[in-house]
Parts: sequence; structure tokens; C-alpha cells
Amino acid sequence: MTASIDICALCPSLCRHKCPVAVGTGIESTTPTAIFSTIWSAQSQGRHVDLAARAVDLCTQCGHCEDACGVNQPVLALLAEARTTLQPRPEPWSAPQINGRAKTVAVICTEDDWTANIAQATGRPIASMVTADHLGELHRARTDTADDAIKILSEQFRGRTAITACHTCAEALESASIPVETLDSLIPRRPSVATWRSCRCLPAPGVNTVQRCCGARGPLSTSHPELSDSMAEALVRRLDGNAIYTPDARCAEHLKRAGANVTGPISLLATTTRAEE
Amino acid sequence: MDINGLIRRGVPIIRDPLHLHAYRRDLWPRDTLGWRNGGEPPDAPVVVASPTRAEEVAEAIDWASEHGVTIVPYGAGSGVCGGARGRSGSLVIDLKRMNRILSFDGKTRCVHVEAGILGQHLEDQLAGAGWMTAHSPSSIACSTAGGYIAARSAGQFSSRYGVFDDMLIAAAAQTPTGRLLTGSWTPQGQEDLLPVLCGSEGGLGVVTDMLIRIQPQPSQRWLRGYAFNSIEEAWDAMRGIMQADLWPSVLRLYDPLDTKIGGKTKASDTTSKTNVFGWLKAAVEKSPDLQKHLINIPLAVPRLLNRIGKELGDEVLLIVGFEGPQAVVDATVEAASPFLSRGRDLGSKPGEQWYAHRHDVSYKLAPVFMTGAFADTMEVAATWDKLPELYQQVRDALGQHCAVMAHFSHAYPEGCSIYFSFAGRGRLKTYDAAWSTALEAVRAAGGTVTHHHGVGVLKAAAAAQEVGSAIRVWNAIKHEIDPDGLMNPGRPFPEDASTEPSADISAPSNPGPVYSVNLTSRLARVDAMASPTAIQEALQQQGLTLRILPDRPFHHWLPQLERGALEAWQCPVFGVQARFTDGTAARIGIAPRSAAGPDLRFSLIRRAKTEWVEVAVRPTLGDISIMGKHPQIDARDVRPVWSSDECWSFSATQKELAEVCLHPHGEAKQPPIPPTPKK
Repeated sequence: MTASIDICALCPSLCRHKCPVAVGTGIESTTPTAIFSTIWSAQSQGRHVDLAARAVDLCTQCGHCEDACGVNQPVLALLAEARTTLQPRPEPWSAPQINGRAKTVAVICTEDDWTANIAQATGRPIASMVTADHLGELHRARTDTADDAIKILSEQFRGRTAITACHTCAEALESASIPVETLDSLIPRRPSVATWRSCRCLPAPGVNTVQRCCGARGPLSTSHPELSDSMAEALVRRLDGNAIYTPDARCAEHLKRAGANVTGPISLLATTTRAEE
Repeated sequence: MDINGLIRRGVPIIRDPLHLHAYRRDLWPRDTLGWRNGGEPPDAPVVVASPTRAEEVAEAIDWASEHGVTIVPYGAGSGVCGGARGRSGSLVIDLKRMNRILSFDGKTRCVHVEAGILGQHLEDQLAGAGWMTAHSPSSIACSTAGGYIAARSAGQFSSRYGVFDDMLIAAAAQTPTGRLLTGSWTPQGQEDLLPVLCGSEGGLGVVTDMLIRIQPQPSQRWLRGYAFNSIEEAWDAMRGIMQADLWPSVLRLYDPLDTKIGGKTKASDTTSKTNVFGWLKAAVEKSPDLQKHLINIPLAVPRLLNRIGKELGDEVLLIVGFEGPQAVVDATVEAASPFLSRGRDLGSKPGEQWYAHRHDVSYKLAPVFMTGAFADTMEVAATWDKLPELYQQVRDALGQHCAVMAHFSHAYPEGCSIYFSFAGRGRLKTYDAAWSTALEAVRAAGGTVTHHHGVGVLKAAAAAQEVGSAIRVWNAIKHEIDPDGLMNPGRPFPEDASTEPSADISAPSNPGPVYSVNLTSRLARVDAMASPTAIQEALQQQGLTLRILPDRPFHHWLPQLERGALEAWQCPVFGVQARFTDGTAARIGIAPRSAAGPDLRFSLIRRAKTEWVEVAVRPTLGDISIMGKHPQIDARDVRPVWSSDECWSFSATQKELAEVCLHPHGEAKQPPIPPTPKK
């Protein structure tokens, strides 16, 4: 079936059970079908354009909708296109500066700077880059700015490699063909609790939940932070006090704020480093 | 309106227009068509409550009662009749955050869930522990357990496991007058209103949680396709299998056009380009322009299209499925083979293909709407004797306006449902005309206007007409529970629905206790006040027996029948005729199952003098009884026609199953007559 917003707008929401925003918030407007219905009204009928401009950001970009779709709709690409037509074009993205000359760059996107710890743990010199927007996450979520953002990132990192604690940043680096290691993969000590595999927001084995993302990422977290928080709270309720480890520092930070008993790679690295000292 | 009052009461609410906008319509195709044609969808609510606990639902209802605000309960909005569409000035209570499994008990085989859980999530979590509810509607990914109650849902395996009503043990609802506990949770001495809560479409209260029967996952699943030369031959096979007590998990018959369009009885699959329809489908999918013309031009001349469809041949495809322990499946397949002998065995592929794509039908509607046309479905049901007429009448009625095809599923020993799929030119006038003539045709043919999609706005008037003067029972219960009429007004029946009988209903003229027998559908109309023994003796003169023998007259037994006393597939009563004290008579129950509003039969019996009930019967010739239980076999898997701790009785058509149940210490005996009643 050809890619079309009509297909999603007219679908009875057959992917809603996989959509973490729809499941976590329980709000009807967050289902892919509702989002695309609003987009269709705006684009085809010129109605509810203001609502559509906000609706396109009710997404964490986890991609579970695409996995669930029986007719292979490229949902994320359709949303990226819709953002381009419905939202004003943002200022061009500029890459943050890299501090230091080392070949390996730690990409710091959360509150804690773990550059020194990873340098100590690996015995390598490490430069750092602090990004406040996960390497242009919103620019990469639009068709009109994504290529430029990726190109800028590629130029900024020319000849260097990266370490990141966050899957969103890892995706950005990979799309710019920059060699990237995750912090999680560099920590020798493994947590003893269930692991929340955040690469595609998969629930941890043994953690019984149907909500496959805490809502930390994507346009949702920037444009609808209250819903992003409400997803984390819903997940915390489901975890029911169980301790978890997530290899994504962004998720860990978000879940911690919502009251989860969670360990992320940054705190695990800090513990490992202290133990070695 | 003091919306902040909801916040003060601790109710989580939503009032951002971005979110309210999504509650304006459900999946009623008429609203979709209107919206696509440029019309505004129905009004948005003023506020949405998004509770996580039953207490918050209660607070929201109290607030609405205080302010006289209409309440619309909302699940996943997948209803196709407009039952949850938006209402101006209303409070929507969205249950989707109440989506937990509260407890699970394999010993008693039941699961306690909150009403907002999605069907797929429930099944996924149960499957992880080796269990299932076996409720598998095609909307399973986008519908909630609460919605299944509201619209009296049926799943694709209902022929074996029953419809959702049958699977329920208990349910709780929050109403304007307090908490309503039903089924096995009904407080001592109170009327069990679970049958009325099912199908009430939010008209009584907000269902918060429920207790559902569960089944172990079957160890063996057998699926096969058979081609029959005519639809009549296939109906005979379906009826034969159901009346032989073989309880297939799937019995799904496609009419000639549906069979032909899918290339379903050919060796190639439906996507193969060597099949002319497969080639056409692939070409159309590649070209939106071609799609538009190919759909719209024929839809402008539906009668011609339907006539061409009729000329394509009479061959039909029947999918048959059995499941359970290997030995039981093998025996059942053997027992079913005489009924399938007139069909051409197509092997397992058609069945496996259906199983793999059983939920895909929902993807097929979008391409039709995209071309500017509309597509919709209509699910009706009747007893076997009326089924051919129902099929013909409704197909002809719809065929005046739309291209139409059908399949038959949800089979029972007493009858079957028909699922019409139709598409027409994208005009509301065409849509309304199609539905109006089709609903009239259903009524004329003696079927129910809805088998499992519920009523909504679409069928409210037709459902009220079907229920006739029994609507007084609904009105009385509604007034008691929702005196101010705040709960989803007009659902499931119009507020001004007539309370007069829709036809002349006279008292039985012969002395009884058996007034009539419908041998084709295996139903008997019997005196509800007569002794069951007297009824049984009268039936035995005709070589028949009651399927379920009560221990007192039906009029007294049915209202006191405890939830869970019967298995999900056992139906204690079909039709009821009763007379109110003012002399007005009511008659309900014209199909094996119906979703035309709540099941009012039990409440009618409580409130009026029951003249007759229509109950299931079966032939007794050749019954086989086995004394003592088989140590490894569960009665629920083999389903003898009657069982006790000491003895299992099988009908003659179940002899292969009886053989499976023989064990070293068992022996076949003549059945005890009459079987001891099961309380």
C-alpha cells in the first residue's frame, strides 16, 4: 500500500496498543490515527491547523507503530513531512563546540558530566561536547532540516569518534556516519537488576508492562513535557517499586524524576570508577 | 460550569482543545464519511476525565450529577455505530488509564481486569502465563474490555468459547446512584443486572472492572478449508457440526462473491498475480488514480456489479477449525468429517492464511474511503430456519445501493450470524438509504439487527423496535439507576422509543407444556410455568430432550440462575414471551445471540408473567454414557452433552469423543433418564 496520511487517518488505530504515548497517557488524541486525522483536516480542508501543528509532536519517535502496522506505513517519515508543512521552519541548527583535542568525544546531553569518569575508566584521553537538544533532535524530526543537521554534525566530528550515554544522540551520530560507542557498552560492571532495554524502548525481561517507553525522547518531550512526564509516571506505577537499570541516561534521568528506582549508565560508571579508586 | 470542581475532587482531567478534539467521533463510518466530505464532526466534550481508579470515576459522576452534565463513557473509540460520538456540553470519562490486570487465578479460571485494558494487552499478558480469554474480535488491538461489555462484543472463536457476555462472571459499574455490582458480585437478595449492563452502551453507568473466564492455551490448533458447490450445502455442514456438539473454534463461510474476490478456493493465494483478482489488486494498489476510478465507477451502478458477482459462480469457501488437546482434536475432526464430506478439501492453507491475517480486515476500509467512497459492515443473525431468507433479503436490500458480499461466522447449534461488507458511492444519502432498507429487510426476515457491533446511534430505533414493549423493563431499570438520565442519553434506545408491542402478541393457544418445536434450529417453545419433567416427557415423545434441564419451572429457575453455573457456551434460554400486569405482552430473543441493546430476558421474566420460553433441545437417540472420569481429560475440552462427577453423557454424534474418554475402569452405559439437573 502506498504511503499516505490518509491510510493512518482512516485506520481504526490498529497500532495504538504498541504506541507508548497512547498507552502511557491514555489520551485519545495521542493515537497515531487521531494525530493523522487532525493533520488530514488541516492539510486537506484547512481546518484545525493550530491543533495539527501541535498534534504532530505527540510522538517519541520510538517507531513501534511502524512495527505494528499491517500495511507498512512509514509513520515517522509521514510525521516528519507533516511537521515541515505545519510548523514554522526553525533557525538553522548549529553544532555545539567540542572541548578538547582528543580523538574520542564524550557527548554530554544530561545534567551530569561524565567525561572524566569515562577517561579514567578507559584510560583514553576524552574530549567533550555538551548538547542541550540531543544533537538537533527536533531538526532531525523534520524533512526540511534533517539533512542539514546531519551534515553539520558530520562536519563537526570529522575524523573523531563519539561516546554517548543516550540513544537519541547515538542515533544522530550514526545517521551522520560517525563511529559511536555507548557508555553502557564500556562499563565492565553489570547491574544486578532487570534491564530496561532502551534501544527500542523494550521492556525488561521480568518487568511486566505493556508500555514500551517512558516518554523521555522525541518531539513529545520538548513540545508536550507534561505528557512526557505523565508517561513516566504511568510506567513507574506499572513497575510497582521494582528496581530497573536502563542503558539510556536520558531515560534514567526522566524515570528518576518520576520517582522510579532506576539506575542509568552514568551513575553505574560513577560507582564503578569510585570502586576502582 | 465549574470544571475546577473536578480538580478539587481529585479527578484527573483534560481540557486542552487539542485533546478534546479527538473525542468528537468514534469509528462510525457515517461520521467518517461526513468528515471526509467536508462536514464538521460531532461536538467535542467540554472536559474529559481520565481516572486511574474507580473512586475517581465516582467523583466524576458525582460532579456531573451536581451540575446536570451528560456523561459519555469512552474506551478506545472503536465502536462502529456512533455509541461514543461527541456530545455538546458533555463530560467524557475515558477509561484507558484504568488498564491493569488486578488479579489472575488459574485454579478458578478467571481474571480480574480494569475496564480500560486493551484486548490485545490482556491476551498478551495472559498468553505469557499460558492462558487466554479466547475473545478475539478483529478490533482486538484497538478496543477495550469495557467496550466489549458496552456493545456485547463477539470474537472470532465464539462458536467454541461464546461471546463476551458468556465469558463474564461479574462486572462492577459506577452509576449516578452508586456502585453497581453484578454477576457473581451481586449482593445477596438483589437482582443480578449483569445481563442488562451488557449492551447498555454507557446508558446505566461506567463499567470499571470485571471478572472474565479464562482458558488454557490449546495445545493443538487444526484449521482447514473446504470448497462447497453451493452456499446451501455449506450451511448444512455448519449446522450439522454445531448441532452435533462438536464445538469448532472456527466455522467461517464466505459467500460466493467473497470467495471469488479473494480467490479463496484457488490453489494460489490472494496476493498471487497469477490470479486475476490478485493481479488486479496489485495493479490497483500501485495506482491511486486507478484505484479511485475502479472503485467509484462500479459503485455508481451497484445492481449491475452485484449481478456480475452472482454470475461468477456458486462455489463457496468454509474455514473449519478445532482446538484443544491432540486426542480430542483428532476425535472431533473425525466426528466432523461426515458433515464436510460434500465439500472439497483444500488442505490447511486457507485456514492458516485466514488465521495469520484474521485481523487485517480493518486495513481494508481506508483505501475505499480514500477514493471518496464509503465502506461499512452489518452483522445480523437469525435461527437456522430463517438464515437463508435473512441472507437473501438483506443482500438484495443493500445491493440496491452498494456492492455487497458476506461471510457467516459465530455459529451456534440454533443459528448463525451474517456479516455483510458493503461499499457505496461516498454520499450520505446513499449511506442512509442502504442502512434504512437493510434494517427493514432484517426485520422482515425475522433476524436481529445487530449480533456484536452494538447499537449506537445507527441502530437505536431498529433495536428499540426489535425489543418492542420489553423496553419498559429497560426504562424501569434505567430510571432506578440513572434517574436524571445523565448517562449517555439515547443509548442504546432512543429516549422517546415506543413502549407498545411492535406486533400483535397473543397467548399460546394449545395446552402445552410444549407449544412448538423448531427442528431445524433445535428450539422448543415451552410453558415457562410447567414442570421441567412434564416438558421433558412431552419432548421425549418426539425423540428430543432439553439441552439444559432445570430443577424447577423456567420462570423460577432462570432469574435465580447463578452466574458461572453454566459454561460459557451453554445458553439457558433463547426467546421469552411475557405479559405485564396491564395485559401488554412482550417478546424478545429472535436470534441465538444479539447485541440489540441489553439482554432483557431475565429482567422481563422477573417483572412479568412468563407465557413461554424458547429453549434448546437435541435428539436423544443413541446417547452414550461413560461412568467415572477420565484421569487426564477435562470435561470442558470434550464437552459431553451432560456431565456429573459420576457420569459423562455424549450424543451419538460425539461417539468419537466418547471413545477418547473411555478409560481402563470406564464402561459405556445407557444414559440416565432424565439427567440430574445442574444447578
